[in-house]
Amino acid sequence: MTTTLEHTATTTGLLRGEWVKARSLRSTWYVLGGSLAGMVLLGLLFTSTADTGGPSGTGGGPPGVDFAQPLTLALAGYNLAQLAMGVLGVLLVTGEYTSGTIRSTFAATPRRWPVVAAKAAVLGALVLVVAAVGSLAAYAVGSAVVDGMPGLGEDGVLRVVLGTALYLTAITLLGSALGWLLRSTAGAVATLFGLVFLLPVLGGLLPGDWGPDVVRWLPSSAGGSLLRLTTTADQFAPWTGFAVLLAYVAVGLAAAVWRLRTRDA
Amino acid sequence: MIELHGLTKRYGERLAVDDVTVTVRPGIVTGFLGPNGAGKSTTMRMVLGLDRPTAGTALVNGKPYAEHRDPLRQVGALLEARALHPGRTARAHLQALAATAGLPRRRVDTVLELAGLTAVAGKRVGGFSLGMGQRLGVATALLGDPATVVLDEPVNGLDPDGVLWIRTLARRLAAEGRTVFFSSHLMAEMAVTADHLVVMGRGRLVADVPTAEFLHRAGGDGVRVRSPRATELAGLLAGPDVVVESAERGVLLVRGVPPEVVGDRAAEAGIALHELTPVQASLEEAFMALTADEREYRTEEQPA
Repeated sequence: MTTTLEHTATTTGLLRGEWVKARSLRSTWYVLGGSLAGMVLLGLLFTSTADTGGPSGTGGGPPGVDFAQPLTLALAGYNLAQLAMGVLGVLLVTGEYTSGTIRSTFAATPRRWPVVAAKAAVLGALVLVVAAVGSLAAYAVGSAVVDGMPGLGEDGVLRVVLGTALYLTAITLLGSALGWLLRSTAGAVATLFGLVFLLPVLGGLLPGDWGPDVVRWLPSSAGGSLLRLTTTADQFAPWTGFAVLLAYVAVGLAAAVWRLRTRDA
Repeated sequence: MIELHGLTKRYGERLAVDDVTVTVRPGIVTGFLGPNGAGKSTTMRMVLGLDRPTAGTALVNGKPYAEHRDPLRQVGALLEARALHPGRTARAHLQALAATAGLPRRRVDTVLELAGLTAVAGKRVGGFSLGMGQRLGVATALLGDPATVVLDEPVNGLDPDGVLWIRTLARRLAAEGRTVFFSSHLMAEMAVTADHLVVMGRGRLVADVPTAEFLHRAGGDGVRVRSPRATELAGLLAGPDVVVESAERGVLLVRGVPPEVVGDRAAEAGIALHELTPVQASLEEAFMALTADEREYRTEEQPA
């Protein structure tokens, strides 16, 4: 051998590697920028039309948005952002499979779970920061536009504002887990949308005496409790609900690791 | 050094790799030959711990790949063409891996230079030609300055310039004492680059021999003779180490007798020759001869 190179794979190295991968794709910044803009602009739209009863003047708008509550209006953009960020979670994983880079990734880190963990950590941190900026900005814009916005110090307000960022982070990680499990962009995105958007709607068609008991266990309904100032009897308490969502994420990522260990890359 | 012991991979009913035991030694270029579907890529993937063997072991430099603390230092691999994200620049692709493996940043510049990609390092891989993608794949394989280099079809899609580059590179890496294991379906390329050949057919090890011996085993050199009295001539040439074949009427392929002797014998007997041509056994012929059983087996196994 003509040269000697000292190196060992370390946790910091693994995190740095995943960071380089995430930041070197334009799609990452498009999605994050789009989510940020969407959160602020939709918040602005909903709050500025609040006195007319919502964008359509009849109290319409996205389902689950309470037009009597300025805080909910200001943060309603999260509905769109969760879509974009969930897709980002999927893409950063499935992109490795469609392009084939997963082979060099596992060649550099032959054990599977550190890769899953490092990707989740980098993605989670990135989305948490961007989503926190987005929800704080949406709150600030909403406060400037509409009268009667509760202050950050009031009961539960800070929890809802920062909880929006936590919720978006959890949905992104759920997308990442689905990406590992399904390895296909289309499959993972469709499953994520089904879980987050479609199942709660279908759940609404269930009989009233037991339907709500099922619906509140769904990831988006459970996690959504964290984004409400007050929860009803049909819903989990805010942090309980978020814990349920995190349990989905944990189970998803654990299943992903198990699947990677038993299946050929 | 790559050591395979009873390596087996089964996909459902099909045995992709069937009890392969072979050692790929350092210091020489070992060519890995076999028809499509022979199990070459599956074998290489098992060496890198990407596929799990059904039975047997694959050791790299003495340990299973996954047990190395510094895997990229141990093995550098180019597995399939374009295992690259189209949206990432060549430099970012290498930087991500270098960071993961804890390699110094200068290695990125070194391998970019080595692959002749310095000028396009900041360009997105999506715009790369097949050959440039292949060069980046080789740069990726060499990033960790590995003791063992595994290249799956590295000359695919390369222009003559690139083919020559791979050939020189493979020989240089071997001369530096590294283990170089590369597959190709281009037999002529193997004949000039590889010192040793490992041949697979239908998942099984067919040959593990020096390239020269492989060619010799196929029958070595021969003489093609065309004559109206070919049958008579064949009788005159018969002897202990002589093989005479006749693929078409009036044409003989003679092995074991130099052309001069064939000509002299014919002249003595007054037999007119219409052609007397020395022929060299090609690697293709050697390969076909060696895998003939495997191919017949395949036909039998799939009844119409």
